Amino acid sequence: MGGFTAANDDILQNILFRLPASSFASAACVNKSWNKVCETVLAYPKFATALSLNPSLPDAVKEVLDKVLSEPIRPQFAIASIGLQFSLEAAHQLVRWYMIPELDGSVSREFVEEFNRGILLIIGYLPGLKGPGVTMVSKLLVDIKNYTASVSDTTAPEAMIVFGDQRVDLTHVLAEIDHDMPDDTVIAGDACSRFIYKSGQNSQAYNSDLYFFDAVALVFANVKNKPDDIGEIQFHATMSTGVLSIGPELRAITVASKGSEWSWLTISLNGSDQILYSQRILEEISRERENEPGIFYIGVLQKRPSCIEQEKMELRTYLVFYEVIEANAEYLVVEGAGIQPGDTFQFYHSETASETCRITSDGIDILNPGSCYGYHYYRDSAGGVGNGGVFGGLLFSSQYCEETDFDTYPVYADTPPTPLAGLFCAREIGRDFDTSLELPEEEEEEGEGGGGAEEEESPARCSLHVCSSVFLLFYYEPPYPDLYIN
Amino acid sequence: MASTLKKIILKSCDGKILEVEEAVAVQSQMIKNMIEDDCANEEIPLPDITGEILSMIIEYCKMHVDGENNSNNELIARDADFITRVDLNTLYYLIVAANFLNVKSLLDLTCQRVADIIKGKSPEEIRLTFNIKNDFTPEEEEEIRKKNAWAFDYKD
Repeated sequence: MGGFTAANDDILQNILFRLPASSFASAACVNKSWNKVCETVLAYPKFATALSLNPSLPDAVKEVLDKVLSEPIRPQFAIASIGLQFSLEAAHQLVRWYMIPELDGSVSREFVEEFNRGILLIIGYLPGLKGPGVTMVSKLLVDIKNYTASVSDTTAPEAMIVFGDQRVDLTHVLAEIDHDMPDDTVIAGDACSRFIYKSGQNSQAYNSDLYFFDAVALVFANVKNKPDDIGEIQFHATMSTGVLSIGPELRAITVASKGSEWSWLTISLNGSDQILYSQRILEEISRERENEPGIFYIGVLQKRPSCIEQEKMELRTYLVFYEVIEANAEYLVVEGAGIQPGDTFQFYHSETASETCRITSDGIDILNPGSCYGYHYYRDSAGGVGNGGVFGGLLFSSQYCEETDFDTYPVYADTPPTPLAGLFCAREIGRDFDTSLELPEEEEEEGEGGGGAEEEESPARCSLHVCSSVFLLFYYEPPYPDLYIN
Repeated sequence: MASTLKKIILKSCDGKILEVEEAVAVQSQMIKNMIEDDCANEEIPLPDITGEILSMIIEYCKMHVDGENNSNNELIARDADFITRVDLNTLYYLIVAANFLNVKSLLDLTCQRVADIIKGKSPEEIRLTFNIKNDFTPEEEEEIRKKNAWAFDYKD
């Protein structure tokens, strides 16, 4: 005769909270009172991450799964990032083999050469939000809005994590999304990766598991009629821009390009028609940077019509980065296409790694002691106390930083019990409201003399970055604690 | 010091009286609070705890006070030895008592033990083990199983 039928909720919760996720799911199916306790535990959002460097893929997958599922969670989405020694397809199959069929979405992606070992698995559960919906390519924005509207009361989601395929240029799509979405919709991701995506919602046959997409967005939206006892999940993002503008404002005079791979530009000072020697300009700029190692980019201000049919007349101005390949006597050669004669630009130089990768907590309101959010962190609900706070974080960081020693200490030290995970990216996606066009102070004079007036009338935005770090934080605000106050 | 030899008198619900050294008794946060509030000079009645369970708890607390100088591993081994000797029914009453007396380490140990017993079991096996009745309607059960279906393929 076990007395456990009579066990009170506190005791039951204390027991069930210790279960790994799958046993916890079994416990939820035992009877009504056990189910109720499980649902109470699941009223809190949860985020879990694990890394394995095991050289055997099946072992590595098993290790990370055991780790992320070692505590109660009902996984809603999963992101697996794998080293190049593993097959993307095989890893995806394995992760999915364990996690089907209820997952809303899972993304597997590769990370890049220097960090090419292991597998990183991130899973999350966000009650009150409808998990990853999804969508492709040119229709990205429309799909995001439709999806959001189908689950939520608005068309603007709370946040989205976007992955783009390396063959596809997301510049215009992202500019459109950035223009369309309200400022408090948080966007982060990597625009230049390889990935496989699979959603639990459209899984019919198991064999058709593998789809290659141009882009995928994990969209998080508040559900309609959210129950009152579920708190609010907020997303916060901060970024460090990894490049500094340098040298005078320039203008593209002629542009030739070969496919979408390279562009050859002849350039002049903005406001002059005299063609300059690219090589000399670059040499001068290098000297100015004291020949510091690093990559040069040009940041081109592109004023383009909207790519949405009914808004064709509207112009969008955004800043697009191109990596400088070569500068010779005649031409400036950059990677990528899309520059038009007349576009103005400036050179940018990647900062040293120590500058680039240092994410400070300054940009994150919720980490500031003086902010209205206070200074508390999420605690497990085991003790029955549902404090709010930060419960997880994702760092999207450029692979181009020379040092692998990322200084994330300020963030980590501020959020000690919080699971954080980082992904190396080729092109980081992040919304940047203030800094995209702000010239560094020593450049101010030239900035004013150059295109200052133009900047004022249409501030350029930038959501596709180079050499930067974008930090996404998940924050939980519990429901109003005292329901008895009227 | 003299105060460490002070005895606390506990009375179980079936009338058993146990004298416990204060150092052992304060493992219970509840009793500790009572001592601090000067309410522990007479016998303390424990309405929901039988003499048998109370003896076990005191045995456990003694083990921890005596073992304070032992290595952590030794304590863990002793804890494991203590808890595996306990049957399910007793385990339940130990949890209730540890919860009431607020003996944190014992509550952790006992709850973890139950969690370990649940681990890896299907809902049916859990019901059988703990003698719990399934009070879902078939429709409710189907819906809840569907919600948790992802886990049934995964074995931890």
